[in-house]
Amino acid sequence: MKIKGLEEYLQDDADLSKKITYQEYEEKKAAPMNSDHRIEDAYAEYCAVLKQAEDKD
Amino acid sequence: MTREFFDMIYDNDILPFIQTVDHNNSLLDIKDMDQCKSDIYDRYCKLRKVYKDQIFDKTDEALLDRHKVASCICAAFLQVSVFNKQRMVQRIKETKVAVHSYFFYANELVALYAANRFLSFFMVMDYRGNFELQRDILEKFPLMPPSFKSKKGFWTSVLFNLASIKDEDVIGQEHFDIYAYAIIFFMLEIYYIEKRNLQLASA
Repeated sequence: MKIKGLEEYLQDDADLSKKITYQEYEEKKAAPMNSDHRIEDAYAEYCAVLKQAEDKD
Repeated sequence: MTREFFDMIYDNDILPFIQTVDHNNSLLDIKDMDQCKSDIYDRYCKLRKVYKDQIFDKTDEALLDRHKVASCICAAFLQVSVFNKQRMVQRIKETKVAVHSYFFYANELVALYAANRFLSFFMVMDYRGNFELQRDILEKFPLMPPSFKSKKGFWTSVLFNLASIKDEDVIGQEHFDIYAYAIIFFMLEIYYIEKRNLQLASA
């Protein structure tokens, strides 16, 4: 399986270094909830998914 | 992020990793965790402010994106070592036997892990509604170095670079690439998603 390297990504999109999330990279627009003040929300979602995964196991 | 909130994440998500590393190498000594936790949080807050002042106007309310947050977390952990490596280093000097990069760069490894763990919280939130992907992120992220003794290769270079930054004590100054490391964390996220997409396509 071939995985692209940094150079190949930059050849595809020279503005890559200005983008801040994979979502933004993929969709060509700013991603929501992408800043440090939302970390409480992010962690709550993470804990909920973790619990859901543990319950399924 | 309040101190209490950081403490909770540290206890639940970072400390178990530190303990795992410690349990696998009897020559590493964990420092006072309460003191480390407190110091790391202080450094994180300071680094965020320094960095925001560097890249934004001081009156700007702009917030750092998650890869820069991860980079600041990484830097804070680099500034406050959680392991004392003195006994391990002494043993290496006496026996001339190399240890796994995992252990030789134990403090840098923890910094890398902590930064990636913080990043993974945001990744999980991004994919709300896609439980399979969220679960995959829980299982596979943080992307971490494999166990090896080689002094070559990507991961050793990353750990070596982090160690150099740490030793030069220039974190938060012009030489510390918080921005460059933010890009590295961004690339790790892309690498993970692309790899997963390729695996799904070939399944």
